[in-house]
Amino acid sequence: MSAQASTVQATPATQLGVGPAWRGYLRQPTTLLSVAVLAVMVLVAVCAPLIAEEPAGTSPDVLQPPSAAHWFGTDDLGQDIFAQVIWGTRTSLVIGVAASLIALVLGSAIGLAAAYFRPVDAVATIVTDVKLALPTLPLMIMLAAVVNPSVWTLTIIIGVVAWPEVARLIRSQGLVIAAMPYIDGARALGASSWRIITREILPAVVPLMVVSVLLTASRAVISEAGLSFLGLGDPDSWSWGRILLNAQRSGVVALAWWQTLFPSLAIVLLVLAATVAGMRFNDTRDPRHKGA
Amino acid sequence: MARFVFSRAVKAVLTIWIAITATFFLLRLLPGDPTTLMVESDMTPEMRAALLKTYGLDRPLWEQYVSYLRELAQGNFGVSFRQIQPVRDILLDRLPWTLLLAGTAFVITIAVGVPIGVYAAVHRDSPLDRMLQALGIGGHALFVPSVAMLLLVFLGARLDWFPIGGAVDPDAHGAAAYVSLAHHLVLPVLSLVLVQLGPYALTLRTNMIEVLGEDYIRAARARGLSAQRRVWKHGLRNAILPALTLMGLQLGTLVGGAVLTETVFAYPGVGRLIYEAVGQRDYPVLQGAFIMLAVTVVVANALTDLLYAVLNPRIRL
Amino acid sequence: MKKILNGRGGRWRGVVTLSLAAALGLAGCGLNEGNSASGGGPGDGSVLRIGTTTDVSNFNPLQSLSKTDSWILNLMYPHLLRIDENAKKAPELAKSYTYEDGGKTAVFTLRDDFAWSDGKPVVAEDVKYSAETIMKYKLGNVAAKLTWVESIEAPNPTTVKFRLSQPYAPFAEGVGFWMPIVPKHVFEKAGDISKFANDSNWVGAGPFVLDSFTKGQRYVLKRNEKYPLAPGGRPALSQVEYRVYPDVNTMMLALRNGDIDLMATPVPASATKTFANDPKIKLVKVGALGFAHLTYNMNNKHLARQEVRQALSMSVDTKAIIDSVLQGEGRQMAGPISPIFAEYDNPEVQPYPFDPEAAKAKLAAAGYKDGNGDGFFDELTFGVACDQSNPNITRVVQLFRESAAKAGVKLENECVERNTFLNRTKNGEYDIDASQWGVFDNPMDQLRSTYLSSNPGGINYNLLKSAEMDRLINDAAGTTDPAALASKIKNIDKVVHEQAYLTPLYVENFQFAYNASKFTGFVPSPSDLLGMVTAYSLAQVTPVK
Repeated sequence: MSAQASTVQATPATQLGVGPAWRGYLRQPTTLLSVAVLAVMVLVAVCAPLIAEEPAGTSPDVLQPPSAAHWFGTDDLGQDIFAQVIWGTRTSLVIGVAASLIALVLGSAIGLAAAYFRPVDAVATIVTDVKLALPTLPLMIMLAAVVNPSVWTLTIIIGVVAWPEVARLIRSQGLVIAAMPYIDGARALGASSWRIITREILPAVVPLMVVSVLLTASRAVISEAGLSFLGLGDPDSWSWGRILLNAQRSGVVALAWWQTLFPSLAIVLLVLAATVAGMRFNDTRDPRHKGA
Repeated sequence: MARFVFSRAVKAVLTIWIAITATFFLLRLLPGDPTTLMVESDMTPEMRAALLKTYGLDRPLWEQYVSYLRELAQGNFGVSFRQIQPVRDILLDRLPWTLLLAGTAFVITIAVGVPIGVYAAVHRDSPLDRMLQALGIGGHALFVPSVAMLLLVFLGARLDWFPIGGAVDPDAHGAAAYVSLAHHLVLPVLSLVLVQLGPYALTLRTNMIEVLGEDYIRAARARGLSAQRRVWKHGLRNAILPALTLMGLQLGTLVGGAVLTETVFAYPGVGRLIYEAVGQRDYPVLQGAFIMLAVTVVVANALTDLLYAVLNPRIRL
Repeated sequence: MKKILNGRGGRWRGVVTLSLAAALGLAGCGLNEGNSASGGGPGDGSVLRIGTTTDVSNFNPLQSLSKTDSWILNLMYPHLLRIDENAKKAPELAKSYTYEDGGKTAVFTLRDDFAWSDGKPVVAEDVKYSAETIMKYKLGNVAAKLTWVESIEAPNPTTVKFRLSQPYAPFAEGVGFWMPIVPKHVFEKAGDISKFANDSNWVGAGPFVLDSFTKGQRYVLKRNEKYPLAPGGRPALSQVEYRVYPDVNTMMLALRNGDIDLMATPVPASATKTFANDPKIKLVKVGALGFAHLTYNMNNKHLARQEVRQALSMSVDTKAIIDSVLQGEGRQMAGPISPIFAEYDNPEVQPYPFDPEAAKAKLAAAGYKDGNGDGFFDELTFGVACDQSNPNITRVVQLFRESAAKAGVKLENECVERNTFLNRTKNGEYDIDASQWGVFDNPMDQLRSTYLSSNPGGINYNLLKSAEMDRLINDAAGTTDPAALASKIKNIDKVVHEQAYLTPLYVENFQFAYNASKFTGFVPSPSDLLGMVTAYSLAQVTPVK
């Protein structure tokens, strides 16, 4: 049995209250800040058309550094990079959230089943370990090359590659719960496995799921940027990775630092906010980490 | 103990076999075959068929699979479609560079990350601790190509402190060669370490805090053991193993992430080879590279599990 | 902190140092240069270091297909003919060529002063052997050009005769330019040539011959002391090195830094400003031998209609594309024949004007309606396929999508990874194909390969099956009188343009960057396949005093 190691760990069942924790959660300044950043990003993604025109066409202002007219400068076609980053927020958020949801559903289902049913556990552990043994990026490269690149295929690929980590997490927490005496009691009283899993174990792992969505989403955003950067992304939709790819492909990386800097900052900001929010949420649900 | 070793070994072999099979069939799913790259020539259907025959691609899938396994058992990875060279030679040419790059990044991450993580755990909420938390989370968010390009442009081009790309100066010999090697290694390793170090040290810190709160540590303090002994002998030993395991698990990501670094820095490793081989539908090279990487990761994981079991009898069952 | 690093920490440091040492030791095996060790810089002359983006994949000149391979191998193995600055065929190994026998026999007369680096002279038997080997094993892209060859004769060391089963005017130029000549006395010992790696002990007759290499990093070629086409019979450069930089950004930095002296890969159009402030870097411009185009799949029932194709031709703003994507470095084209072939290009043929309104009107007149009022004609939705690794074409598709929308046509961007794209193209799985021809060295060959219904070259991307076109092309192919051939080709040019089988976009200019303060004397040829690094060009290069 491999050791469990991550910044998020299984919690003893006694300390899983969620309700009043919300207020405590938001009280910390860093948490407030990161949740605010996330909210702003979601807002930007939804209202993108209102903030900037969809990047299109060409203009004579080619490769201009940041200025009052173009806050983030322009690229080699003269398009406004600020607009590209704004529209890119949509794609990155959609893929990040959708992929992590896929990973969540798959990972939780398998993790819970593995926690409760011994035979499933054996198979699941092997499958998970195999998945984890294959190097992630090359695996995604191969998968992305097989399919027609679009936002949806990319989402599925990233989600499918991400589920093993979620499964491990859910499984370890599930194991802790499943070992509790009251579960044995429920079984003795005649409750079906389905009932036990959905009524007892599942609710107990929900907080962990929230955390894992945030963390997986941030990893998914980075994966998408990586795949787009390698040219395996959706060529029709704007994404931060695509802006970086344009810079690299047109040979202007050293010439136009703004084309590389701003999308990179956007990635850092989103991932940072999601990770902090996730970790702080984890702290509130597990008092052992309070102030840690 | 023997049973544990045996079961881990079986699991490792099974994992490798599944990896081989999965990649074999997945690759055959990719649209196109090596002859599609020759489409710009005036190729007749007969020529194409003859080429497919040379590569053995005209036989039924099952037959190809079995014969591939047989060859593999004899250490023969096949011959590259594009390069008329045994795959094993191609891989052995490039694998050392990736191992060097990833290995050095691995070692430095642990070497620097452990002391920092331990210090932060022992001195919680100190300025260093807070900085580490920030860096740890920030590191997760960094995008490797951006970091790599930034380093290349500023430290390499503008300041001229480091060479632009390549692995070593081909004209240097003897001791000078080793110096050149290290010189070329700095920027690529730095890119990888900057991204990995923070999160790693943070994990270690978290584990350390937990361990230090455990009863047996408090018992040790009650027994009068010095802080140092407590921290290092008992605390670290138990915290580092999950951290080692984590690194072992992340090896797959580390090596995969090297693809991006190897591209920017023109570093001749396996990561870049995989990307090129996908583009060229060079199945034997792709399979060989995947298998080598998978084996490396599986072995690393098995070793760390073993280490963990040796040092922590509690989980050996 | 100190407390932690002493004591136990000391042991820690020991472990770390050991691991680092082990890692460095591992790299020791990577430090060995491929074959012979090059002992540092040469005595006289200079070393020209050239950057390329890809590694050599195949050292066998009869078989290899990649650009980098051809750059390096063409320095070693001569061809009968070369292409000069004016896109015309010029002599290299062959002094001249003629046709006998009503065009059914092509005769090459060779120079007698080429010699292999092991001392043996280059003779007609080498040419015969090269051609026969290619035919026997069906190697590379020359095999298809030799399909009509019935027999080859080498009556004396400087004459080679190819006997064809039917006359074909462009035969000599095609084979002369594309076929590399290899040393029979070396290659015939290799057995099955299709498996011959040719990765050591090279024997060549070009200005430079491979000496050693480190895979993925550097290829070293040393001067061939006797090369008749170099001034004074001996190249001025003592050594040429190719260095691999997969990322063109890194390569440009390396050139500015002085790590290399020339980029064999062209500078991307948008990046030429990188060298603006550097007085020692010079940019050289050459035209392309191919061109970028949009080709319409005739199996699509809407694209099969001439009005639709013509309307699409009017919905792409070629001038704006050249201005922005190519930064002005390109020429417009009207028909399928590139203006670089001046005697075959039909000057009467004018490109379709950019007029989305008129295009919309044309489509409406053809009977298309916008029933649901979304601004697009209901039945006109097409996918545009392209190779997404080509930065210019992907930009073109992006812009085409936007301008076609103004004409009421909905386009979907289907730019995919390179091999997937090539596969799709081969199987005809696209509506519109946006790509770039690499090198057409000969308009007749080009027309045969692109428009014959029998699709001998596999590049009839229109999937055109037109009896009329077949008749016109086959008639021209059999014509041996140059004037008649030219006028027939001009006519086909006009027909294709009227039918709008394709929308030619541009002939781009490639720009190559090199360090002019160190080297001079390059003779550039058109196309990025040739550029600055042909055998002839590098043989003329001298260091700047």
